[in-house]
Amino acid sequence: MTKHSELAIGGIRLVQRTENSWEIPKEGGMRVPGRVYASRKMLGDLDHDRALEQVKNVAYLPGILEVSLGMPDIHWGYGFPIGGVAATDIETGVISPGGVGYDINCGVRLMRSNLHLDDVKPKVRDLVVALFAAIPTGVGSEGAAGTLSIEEVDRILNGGVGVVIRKGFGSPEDQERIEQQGFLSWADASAVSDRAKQRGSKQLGSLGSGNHFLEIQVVEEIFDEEAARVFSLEKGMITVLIHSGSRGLGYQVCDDAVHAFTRIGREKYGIELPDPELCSVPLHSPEGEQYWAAMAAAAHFAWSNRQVMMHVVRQVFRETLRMPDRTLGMDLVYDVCHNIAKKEEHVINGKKQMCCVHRKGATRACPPGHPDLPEIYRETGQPVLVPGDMGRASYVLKGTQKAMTETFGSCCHGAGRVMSRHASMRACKGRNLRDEMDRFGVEVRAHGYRTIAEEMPHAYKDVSEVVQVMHDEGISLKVAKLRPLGVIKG
Amino acid sequence: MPFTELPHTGDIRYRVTGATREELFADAAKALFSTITDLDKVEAKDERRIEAFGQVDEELFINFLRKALDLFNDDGFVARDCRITFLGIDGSDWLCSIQATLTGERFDRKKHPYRTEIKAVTYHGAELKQTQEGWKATFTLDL
Repeated sequence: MTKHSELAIGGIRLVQRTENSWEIPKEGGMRVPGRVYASRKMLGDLDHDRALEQVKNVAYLPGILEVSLGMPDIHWGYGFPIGGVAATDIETGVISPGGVGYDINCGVRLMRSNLHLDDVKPKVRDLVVALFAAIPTGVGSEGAAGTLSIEEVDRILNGGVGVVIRKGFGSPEDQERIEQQGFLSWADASAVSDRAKQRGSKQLGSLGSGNHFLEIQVVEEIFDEEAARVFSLEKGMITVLIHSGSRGLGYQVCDDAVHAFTRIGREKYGIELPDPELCSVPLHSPEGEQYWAAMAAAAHFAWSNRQVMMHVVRQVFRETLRMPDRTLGMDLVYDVCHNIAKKEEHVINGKKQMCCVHRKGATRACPPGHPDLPEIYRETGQPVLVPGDMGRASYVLKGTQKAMTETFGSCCHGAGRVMSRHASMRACKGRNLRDEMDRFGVEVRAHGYRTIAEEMPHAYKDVSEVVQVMHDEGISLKVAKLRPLGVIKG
Repeated sequence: MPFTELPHTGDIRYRVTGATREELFADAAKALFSTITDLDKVEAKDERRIEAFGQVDEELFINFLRKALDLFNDDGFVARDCRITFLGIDGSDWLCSIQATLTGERFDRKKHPYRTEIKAVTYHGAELKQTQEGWKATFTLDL
């Protein structure tokens, strides 16, 4: 190990603890220290951003355990940093809706196929055009599942992804390849406001806007043959990645809770925090329990949303390529949450205990043998899906025991922005973005020039560097690299 | 420009200034709707009213913007203009009811250029203050 050093980034002191991890010493009202995973080079990106200050702010949460974490894709969010992970004590700790985020269970799912690059290359444009027509994207779009009655919304909120699968969107085999099988037993539709349900009723099976996307990819490189075989991935294979969340329903659940907790947290429970958006209430409180049930219901909606879109993807491939399902072999590899809080068992100070792990822009990364893994992945560890920007790459990793001891079983969730949307737009002036994306070899469809300009690869960290940090620290190990061929955005 | 965009890596952050608090709240609402679409293309066809009540502070400011965003989320209404009245409770200057009348129309994908969806108006870094030059505010939207 090289000599450890100290740095100050944006006025925040960082003490190196390993090659790619840095401690923010406890000070002021911090109850625990902070820790950020980043290469020395990547830390420079945080100089102009407030993400490290946000790691410190999270450390103020009552009942926070061990450390406030930032993954290598960390960047400035609201309240929690994006890429933030924090565990709170299940008995004495708080729940912070801002630590889950507005887009509850925003996440990604990866589909594999029997198709090879050569089969699909001449058809990528047709597929992208057909996907863009079939999957509603952007502002004011109605979902592919049509308008649901409030009773139908309630059934999804209570019953999870199985409800839409039984309605014919996908097959029962899909369900075991979804984190928690797409079902959280404590979900309760009656904890969700009417306005949230109303918003959700029109949006099942819609992508949304901003950084949400649906991408056709090719497996470019395999790093771990054995794990890739278990994940049924091989070099040259066509894959599809879907990135979306709980749409207006989830945003409203979070908004309802944040609005209520800004006051209740302070006045009823005496919880003072450095940022009002971190507002929290005890997990064991009527308000905490209501949010907990509503959050899980919104998570059900997000899984169902991705499930409906996956069903449409299968239809589009079938019709565009004129191949039956069996030939296409478009099976789900895995579906992971990026924005969620869950009660999980972790070892704290040498003792097993239940904690409430908040992941705001981070994925779970279960090690081999973990009881939450489906049988098929029990020996390899969890597939960890890390989408990058629309020009460069995405990765599949596998979870490790090291993640359990260091990061509450968590890994990064993407590349992470380095440039604001505004700055990205400015940087695009005078450039021909379509030509540039052509040079990346990526066919893009979006509703506006603006979305493309805001989401250009230059606005993001290089996902390969981000993933390398996790790999080198042993938090998750690289299995496969996927290169985009075609993408639809909001 | 009554509002400008400030750097924020993940989301969008606005600074709004106004000679009066009425002007400031109205311009903040315009900043919000301009995030969704180009307000020059929105016609004043229809009217909506919203109301918010409380101490004139950040919380009331954000609550007012949340209610303005509800207009879009409930039935796709986008506003190009906003008129604000502050009614002091019992003659108070700091405890107020804000009555807002917003003019605009329903978002139409054929007519209105599409920008982005707003997930929420957040409390992160929210500021509202009166200075010698007038009123100033900042707020962050989750996109």
